[in-house]
Amino acid sequence: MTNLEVGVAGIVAALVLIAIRIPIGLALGLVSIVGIAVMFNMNVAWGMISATPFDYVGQWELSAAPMFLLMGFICSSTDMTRGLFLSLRLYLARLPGGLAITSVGACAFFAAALARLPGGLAITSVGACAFFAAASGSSVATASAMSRMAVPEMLDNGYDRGLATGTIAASGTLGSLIPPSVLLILYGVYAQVSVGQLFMAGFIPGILSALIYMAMIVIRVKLKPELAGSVRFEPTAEERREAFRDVWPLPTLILVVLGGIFSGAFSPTEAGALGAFAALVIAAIRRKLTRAALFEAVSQAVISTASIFIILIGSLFFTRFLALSGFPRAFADAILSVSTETWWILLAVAIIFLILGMLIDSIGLLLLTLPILVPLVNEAGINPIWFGIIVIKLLEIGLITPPIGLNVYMINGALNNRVTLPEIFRGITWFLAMDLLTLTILIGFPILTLWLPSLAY
Amino acid sequence: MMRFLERIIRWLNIGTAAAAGLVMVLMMLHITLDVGVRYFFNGQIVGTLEWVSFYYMVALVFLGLGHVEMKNENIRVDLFAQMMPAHVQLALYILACMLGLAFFGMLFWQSLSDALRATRRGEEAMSNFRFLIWPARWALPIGFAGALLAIIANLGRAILRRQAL
Amino acid sequence: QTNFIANSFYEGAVPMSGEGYIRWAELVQDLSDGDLVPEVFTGTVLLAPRAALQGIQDNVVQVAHHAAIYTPSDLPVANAVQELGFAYSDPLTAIFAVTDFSMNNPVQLEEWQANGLVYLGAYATPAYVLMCSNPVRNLQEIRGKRIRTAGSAVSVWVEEAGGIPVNVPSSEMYTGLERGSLDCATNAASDLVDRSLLEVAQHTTLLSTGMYWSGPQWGYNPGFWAGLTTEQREVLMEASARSMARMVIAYSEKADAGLQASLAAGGNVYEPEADLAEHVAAFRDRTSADAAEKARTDFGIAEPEALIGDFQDTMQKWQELLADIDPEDEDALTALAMQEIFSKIDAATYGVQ
Ligand code: NA
Ligand code: NA
Repeated sequence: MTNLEVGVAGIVAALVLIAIRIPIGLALGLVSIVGIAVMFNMNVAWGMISATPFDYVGQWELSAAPMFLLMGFICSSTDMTRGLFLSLRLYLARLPGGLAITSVGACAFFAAALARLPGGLAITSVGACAFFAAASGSSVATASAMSRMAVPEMLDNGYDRGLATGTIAASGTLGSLIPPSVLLILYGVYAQVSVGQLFMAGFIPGILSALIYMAMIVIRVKLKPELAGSVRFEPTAEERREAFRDVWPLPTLILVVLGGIFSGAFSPTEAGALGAFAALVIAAIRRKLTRAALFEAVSQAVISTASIFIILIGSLFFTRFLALSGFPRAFADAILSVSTETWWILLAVAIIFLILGMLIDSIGLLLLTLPILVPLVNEAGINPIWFGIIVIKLLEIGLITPPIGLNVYMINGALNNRVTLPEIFRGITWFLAMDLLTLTILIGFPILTLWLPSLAY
Repeated sequence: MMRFLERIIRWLNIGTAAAAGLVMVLMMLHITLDVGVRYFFNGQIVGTLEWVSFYYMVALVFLGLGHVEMKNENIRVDLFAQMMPAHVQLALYILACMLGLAFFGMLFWQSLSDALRATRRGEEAMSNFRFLIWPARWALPIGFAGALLAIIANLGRAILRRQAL
Repeated sequence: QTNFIANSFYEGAVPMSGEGYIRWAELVQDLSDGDLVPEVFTGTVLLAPRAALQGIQDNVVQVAHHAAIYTPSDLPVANAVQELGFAYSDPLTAIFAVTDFSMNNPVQLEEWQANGLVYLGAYATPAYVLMCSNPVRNLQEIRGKRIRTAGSAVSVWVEEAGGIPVNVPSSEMYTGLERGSLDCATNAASDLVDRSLLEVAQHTTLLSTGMYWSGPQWGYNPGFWAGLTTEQREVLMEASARSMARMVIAYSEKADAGLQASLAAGGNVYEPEADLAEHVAAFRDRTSADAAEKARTDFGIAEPEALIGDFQDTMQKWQELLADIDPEDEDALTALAMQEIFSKIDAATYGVQ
């Protein structure tokens, strides 16, 4: 067998192992060790095992990931999103746009401008998701935090079950696009692109996605009012005051984190550490920092970090294995021999993600494909920041498409099967269509992605 | 006996995971303090970068591994396996455990010999100063050993119950 | 036909990778008429910088660049000699003198052998300069400035001069300068363009704060090396000689181009004022005088005076050899390196155990 054939065999073997429920990191790592031993000898494989984990885990850029995970878990374990959600609802019901903008910022302003429009509760949820996305590093965490509070509320108010769950599943995917984002950190480290610039690049596409979701909800509910049920919501003065008192934590935290990164005051790692610290302080001020909440946040963060990094280690092995087999170069040549046009490369990448996205979820898929895609992008001369955002958007679409859609399963589980999987997937169809629209816009207008990073650097 | 062993393994892994959690909080405080010192006193805490890269990250990633294995929190694809009959699922789970033992066994063996070698020669890194890094190497064999033990415990449990975990 | 893997952890734009590996690979193929075929990996795809030495030892790669400062406890001799980096500022002299020294000094040769590598040529960076967001021309202006340094001698000097040495990854130099958490970076002036520093550091001071040469530009796995024929080894030696000439010429051009680009973009380039220049000169003399003592205490070298003395003599020798040669003449430099270094090495026995 030539090295290239071993590389292809390795990819097939890894996919098969992953399909039969072998943990992804383990599948990638083991295939790489065997593949290198076949191509060279066991000595080279031992050398890789020895040289890789210690030297790559300690990269400064990667250290942002556990910090943002910790911050997100502190937010959810101390119930930091509830006040914002309630407030957004209140402002949507009555208050004029001007007050909203001063209180909770641009996203809620937009929601408030739509206050008289139908489907308010769903729009509120999208807005709240966008906010939580800015305080959480992952999509699944965003969807999980929002599903527990927003979905029951919508269902109780007679919302269409598909719309209610679809809203959260889809808006949850904003978590990886709107910074901070663990996926963007991993991409940045792999593609050797500044994580700070990637964070800035993801901001406008994330907000754009949210706005397009909102517009779609408005139009659909206008055409078919029964989708939004009959909302009766008469908040008392006391409820109003209470919601107002608890609205500040999330915006404050976002100000610290995104303000710090966008102004260039902190590096992503520093922003993550400060964000986690600020979340602790905020929780303490709100008297929610119980020992149990802290314990839960830290242990969740430890588990998430370790389970992500074991895939990362497997993926680092896989990168070396594939590089030594010459597969990425052959693959890039094959793709580029058809055409070197950007649209063709994106189409090829989209097809790969569409197929593999049926099988594997975002972190695994990202780490599985980057060893092949990064050389391709470099060779084709595509802007790696722009490409990164497109890749993340594609991965996020994978989170809500059947058969594997982690967000969908998570919401289904969080609601104890109150809404069935087919119902959720049906509700998502509209959001998928909007995602394709967003993707087209992002591909057609790279400036939307590249404008913010160009301002800052 | 089996249950006793399982309990010991569980507590060992909870212990190292607790250490990982502690390290995570320490890392947060250390970086926060460093930023604070920079902004308020125009100073710096010497060695923040080195501590984060060589100690905190390594400890918090590897010491958490065993706990993740124990709780079966590995990211994997359940879809196809779920469509299989129960005994096939069990067989696939046993296969996964065997492969896990092989993989983490190799990682344990190599990282142990690396840690021993680094300790023997007092491994250092150089930045603006020389910095001992051999103690950090020990997080790897400890973490991988935790993962190995956790897989053994889970494998025993799955076989006794005749059911995939 | 012999296929083998070659690795350099720098990006392709850096001469150590571009000239030293990518163009070197073509040269090796040409010189051997297609008999020797290196497959080159640049960047950290294959090996992290710290892992290059072990990668050579374990035969993961057959030849690689390794910067000895990443492994101070493994390569004490190379690191003891690197401590003199502050005392010199001419990369042309350094690249050939370090090669000469590293392939002939018995103590250094023993270190390569003990660490499982065959040394076949050096790299040398241009002298590092100060690139700052505000002018730093004298001792007054350097006081309290946060300066990104890489290496112990420079950071000690920065501290003595009243600045604050800061260690951040080189990938964060740009943002550090931009956001003001750094005031200066000490690096090769080529970074003004390569890392776009000219956008955030408009003030460059041509104050030499040392250069780097430690460790092999081409370190071969001994087993692989022993398996080559004498002719193949001779080809690789000639490839080293010419590639070193190319690297040092390209690096100087890049450094000059960086300064020119900075000037064209409205930046300033200064010579240091007398007090700053004197402060560095005094420090430089002191480090040279202390080098032997430091080699003994910090790196545990048994006979430090002999080692440091041999190194200084070799540097002196090459200063004289190069005095009459056009520093941009690739062929002349190659011929000199062949004549003074590689023709005196027996390819049949060198590095073969
Ligand atoms: Na996010
Ligand atoms: Na999917």
